[in-house]
Amino acid sequence: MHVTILPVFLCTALAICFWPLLKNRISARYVLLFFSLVCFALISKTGLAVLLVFSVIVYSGGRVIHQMKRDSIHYSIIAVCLLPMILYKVIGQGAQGTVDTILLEVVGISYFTFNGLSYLFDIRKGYLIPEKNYGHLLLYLSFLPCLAAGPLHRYKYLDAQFSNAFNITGEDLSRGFRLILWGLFKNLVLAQRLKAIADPMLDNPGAYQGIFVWLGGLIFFFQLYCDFSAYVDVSMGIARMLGVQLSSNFSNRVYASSSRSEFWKGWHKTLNTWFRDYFFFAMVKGRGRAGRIDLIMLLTFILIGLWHAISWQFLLWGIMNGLWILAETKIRARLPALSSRFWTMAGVVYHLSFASCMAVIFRSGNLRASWQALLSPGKHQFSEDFMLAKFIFIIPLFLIMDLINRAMKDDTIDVYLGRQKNWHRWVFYFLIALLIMAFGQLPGENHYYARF
Amino acid sequence: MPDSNFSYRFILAAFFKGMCFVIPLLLLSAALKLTKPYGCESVPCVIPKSMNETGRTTFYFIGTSRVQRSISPATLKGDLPHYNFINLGLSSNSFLYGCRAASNLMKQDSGRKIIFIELTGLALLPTDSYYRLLTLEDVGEVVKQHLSVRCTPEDVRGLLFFLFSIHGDIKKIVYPRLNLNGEPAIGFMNDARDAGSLEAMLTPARYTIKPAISPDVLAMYMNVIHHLQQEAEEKGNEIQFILPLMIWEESEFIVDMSVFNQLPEEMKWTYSDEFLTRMYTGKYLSDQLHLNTKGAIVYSHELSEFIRERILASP
Repeated sequence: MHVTILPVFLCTALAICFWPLLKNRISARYVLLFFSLVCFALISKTGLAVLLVFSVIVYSGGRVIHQMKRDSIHYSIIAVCLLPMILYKVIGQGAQGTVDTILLEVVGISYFTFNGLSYLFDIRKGYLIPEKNYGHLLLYLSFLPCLAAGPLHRYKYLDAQFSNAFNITGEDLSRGFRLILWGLFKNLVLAQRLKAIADPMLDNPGAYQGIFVWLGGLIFFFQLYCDFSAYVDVSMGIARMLGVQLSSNFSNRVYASSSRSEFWKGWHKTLNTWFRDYFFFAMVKGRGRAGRIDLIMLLTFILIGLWHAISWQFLLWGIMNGLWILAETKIRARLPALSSRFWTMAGVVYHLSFASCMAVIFRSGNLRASWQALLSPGKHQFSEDFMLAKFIFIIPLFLIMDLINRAMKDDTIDVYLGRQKNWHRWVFYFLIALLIMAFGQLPGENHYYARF
Repeated sequence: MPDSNFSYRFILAAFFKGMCFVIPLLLLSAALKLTKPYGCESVPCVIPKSMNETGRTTFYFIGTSRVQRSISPATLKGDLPHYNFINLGLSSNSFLYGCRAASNLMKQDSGRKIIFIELTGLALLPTDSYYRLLTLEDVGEVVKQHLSVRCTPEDVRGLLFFLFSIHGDIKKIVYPRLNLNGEPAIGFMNDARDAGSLEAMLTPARYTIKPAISPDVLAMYMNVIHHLQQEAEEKGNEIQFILPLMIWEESEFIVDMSVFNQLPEEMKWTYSDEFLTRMYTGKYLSDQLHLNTKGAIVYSHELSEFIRERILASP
């Protein structure tokens, strides 16, 4: 599947340009809705049809759940809502690489499915009353910057944001620009270059074995962070330019986590809180025994794994993640608190070592071959000159990103740069732009997570 | 809430501020793109005359990294010592740019040339190292040609990227002159690796497939080939086309086979079933798409046979 970000930029620009003409005649939400649907249609016509049918089901389902507070009705509606995503994952995987996949492309199916389910769950819990205006709900499910990479939000939060849409100042445009520029740097410069190194190491189990497969996994881990977080930054930037503030989906230095627990607190945060709130807490409620809680934790990770793809590979990946978290929790409870810089660094090394192996499982096109390659004695086919040529650029570029992430601490790049002097900001803009121009590479395919 | 700030004046002010950022970058990119490679008077950025001082016919091989690693000039020279052989395979090259490079080559008065061009798919943008064989004007002409038959959102995205990207232009300043002795971007590359899988290899069965492509695209390919052939005949040169032995993308396979099947026999190298079967082994591949050194030697010997029997034997 290939999604181009250009329609999103184009529709955003058109929405901004048309708003002054329309602001006295039509609500901001309808302008956003119109351009979101146009953008969706430009990217995926099949997807638009699926979205519209899904939105009608969620809209009517919400009203039914609110009126008839019966579990059977609730779960039936949830099952119907889940069906498109499950079918898409099953059929889409089977049709990989065929002409039929073009017809099956449904951009953002995970995004609008999870948002739709969140809406229904919140109605069921009494946190929300059903939206009377179908257009408002449709906008929540189809908001254009979020289609390709999220992040996910609760209905109440985004609805409040939409009521403030187009109420923007120059500062909003600047903040949006900073996020987009930073996202372009991470994707075009870092993610693409890391991909060029990792792909041969992970796609040729005959040629690369042992520690070189592990190294490929480590590089892919960094690639995935740069790729995915870049798209989220661009989404946040575009939304900011429309006057909508989205949540951040990644901690700035999540790749330097010192434990798996810390990693999962900072990686794909909105998806994890979704599973935590709507599955884990719902299942744990009233089942207080530690053993049951551990089992539900494991099930949660299995579901997260299967959301990526319904396959043995991701089932294994989910199970391994769950077991890792559980093992860490049990061991940590028996150890004294270790908070020195040395132990933090040791934790980072420990986490990266195992995360690289998990990345090999996640990325593998042939799990058995990859696993055998990983466990074999070290073997590689690249020349040292070739590797030097690749790493000589990527290491300093990655360090630049890391230094800036350290300086940002818990802020996003737009907030961090907003605190700097004006001329510092402009120097930063030009330097980052020059790095993109000099070292950027055009992505050959979508960002990695778009396939999910 | 009322958004009294949001007016066209506001949008124009923001647009102007944005242009203050974008225009200097565009100007920098344009300046670098217009800079000629140092010490390069014409393209290809090499002096073929030095290769033709003995007045020998020179065989040129233009294509992608597949040509770079398949065709060994030393092996060909060993089989046919009275001729010159120059590998101009360029990593990430594509068909229209290859034909343009062939046309540039034929404009040079440096003896008789027989140019082999690899059939590949269409790509809007040139490789970063395009300056070794082409000028910016050549790139503009090819872009126009490409967009006349196809313009997708990916093409628009690529064009925007090309306008701003200076990666290739920096290389042009750092590596200006063509050095055919083992540079990774152009010329024959020895690759000793031995780890290829066979999924992309042509087989006798795959070779007989007759796919169909868009008539516009096919017409453009044939038009370009026809003009090239006319140019060649005017100066006593010759053009031949070769099919890559390894084709991974189905879309490229469809285009290559369609065009290949349209070409007359005298303009192409047709692989025999025996040769394809002989090459169908992982020991000749460095990866899915490229031959290794052993494979290049076998391929080049077969090519020299073709040259001897077909090209040199014909009147």
